[in-house]
Order: sequence, then C-alpha cells, then structure tokens
Amino acid sequence: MNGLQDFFSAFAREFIDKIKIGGRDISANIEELLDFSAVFTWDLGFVQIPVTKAMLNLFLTVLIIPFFCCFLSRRREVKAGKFQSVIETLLGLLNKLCENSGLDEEQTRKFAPFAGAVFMYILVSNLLSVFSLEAAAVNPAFPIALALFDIICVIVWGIYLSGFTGFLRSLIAPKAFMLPFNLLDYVIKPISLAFRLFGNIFGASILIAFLRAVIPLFLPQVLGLWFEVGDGIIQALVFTYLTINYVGEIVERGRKKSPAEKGKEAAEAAA
Amino acid sequence: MDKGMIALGAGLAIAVAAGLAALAIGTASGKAFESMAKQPEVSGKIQGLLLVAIVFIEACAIYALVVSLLLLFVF
Repeated sequence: MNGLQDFFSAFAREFIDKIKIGGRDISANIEELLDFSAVFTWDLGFVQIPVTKAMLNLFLTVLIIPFFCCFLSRRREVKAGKFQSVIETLLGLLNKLCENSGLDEEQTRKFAPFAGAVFMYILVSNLLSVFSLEAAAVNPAFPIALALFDIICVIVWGIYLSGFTGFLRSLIAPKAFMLPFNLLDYVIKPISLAFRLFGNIFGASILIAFLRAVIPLFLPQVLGLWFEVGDGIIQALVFTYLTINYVGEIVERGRKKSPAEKGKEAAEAAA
Repeated sequence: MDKGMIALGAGLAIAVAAGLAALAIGTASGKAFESMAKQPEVSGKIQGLLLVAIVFIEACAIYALVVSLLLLFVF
C-alpha cells in the first residue's frame, strides 16, 4: 500500500513538473530557436557550404512544391469537378488580384505564374513549421534574401511588361521632382517586405516556443493553429499581394498617356 | 549593460507600439465599416483597401517587435 502511494506521489510530482516547465529550462527552447549555426557542412570539393536549419526547410519546400502541383493538376477535365473548381476559383482570384492592380489581360497571363510561385514558396515554407520543422523565416537571412530577390524581379518584370521607357516614365510619375522619392522607394520596399515577414513569423515562433516550455499540454497546439497556420497563410498572401501591387504600379505609371488625357492636362496647366 | 533596464526598454517599446497600432486599426476598420454600411455596393473595394491599410499599420508594430527582440537577444 505504501509503495503504491509513493508511486502516485512521485508520478504527480513528475506530472506537475512537466506541466509547469515542460521538464526543461524555459530559455533552452528559445535558445534552440535562435541557433542559426550550421547543422552540417556540405562538402563539394572546391567549396564547402554550411547548411543551416532554414536551408534544410527550403530544400524540402522546393522538393514538395512540384509534387503538390502535380497532385493539384491531376485528372484535369473540361467539365470541372468539385476539387478542380476549388483550384480554378483560387487561380481566378489570383488573376483578378493582378488585374485589379493595373495589369491588363495579356500582362496578367504572363505575370500571374510568378506571383503564384512566390506565394507557394512562402506558404509551404511557413506551413512546414506545423511538423515542428521551424519555418525558414525564423532565420533573418531568408526573408532579407527573398525580399532583395523579389524587388529585383519586380524591376525586371516592370521593364519586361512596360518597356524600358515605360519604366523610366514610372520613375518620374506623377511629376519629375518625385524622382528621388521614387528611387528611395526601391530601397524601402525590400526592407519593409523583409521585416514584415521576419517579424511576424519569428514573433509567432518565439511565442509558441515559450508556451511549449511553460504549458506544453494544450495551449501551444491551439494557439499554433492560429499563429503558425493562419499567420503563415496571411503573410504569404500579403507578400504576394504587395509584389503584384509593385509591378502593377510600375505598369500603371509607365503607360503612355492617351492624347485626350494629355490635352486635358495641358488645359489644366494653362488654367 | 543592466539586463533589467534592457528588458524594461524592450517591454516599453512593444507596449507603446502595440497600443497605438491597435488604436489605428480600430479607427481604420471603424471608418471602413461605416462607409460599407452607407454604400454596400462598393464594400468589396473597401474591403481590399482596408486589408492593405491594416497590413501597413501592422508593419509599424512589427518593426517595434523586431527592435524589442533585438534588444532582448542581441545585447
């Protein structure tokens, strides 16, 4: 009888310990999250690449996306089934987003796949954190690199869609004295894109890691549903939305003015 | 440097930023709902604009979050 009592009291003590601090130091969880050092080094002979956790996540993302896309586009039919119509609605939403930002139909057909690719890349990398793989955006190197790549792509797409003269015209819109501010925009945009993605995902991860240490039983899973899944989707959406808008802005401003608008402007200047 | 003062500064930074951002989001969405009720036919357009505005307001709070995290973990 005495032994059973001892066992139960020991069990309860252990259990309370687990609930209280998860059996480990609180800072250990966060420390593990902040560990950006290389997991292993990939030796290519002439160059050694240090592979971090974020890079592993991104390798997996790049592997998952083609399979996912093949799965989504299997058994395509002219008369859409239930599953296919959901996918088609989402693609229609993407096209509509492009057209609302100022691209015409032909330009949307060219540009929408790029926007979709950016969306899928961030979305899958964020959602991998559900499998406790830690989203790549936790490492600040990923959002900064992605935002720099994104702004270069925006400029290249702007030149491709509206021509080089159109791009130059967008720099001096609406008036010529706005040129330094428009140039400054291309420095501020990537910074804001990178910080938004990094801050949101990193903040959520810190919160979840903290909760996992303090109350590991029920709360982290429920809150993780919002902070990791919901926030991951929203941030991917916002990043894509802003990319589309930046390109749409260049195209809209770089469009040649029709003679009627020009005449109207001249009349306004004269008056 | 004193660890306590750093923690205090980080907490103060995010508290002020989060409070003001919440105020701004409240004002923006309140006005948006008001105009949606007045003109239901343009509510779709207002919704899109509201989303963008909220994202930009939220970005300010996120900058404060990044700063306070830097304060906590870098210093």
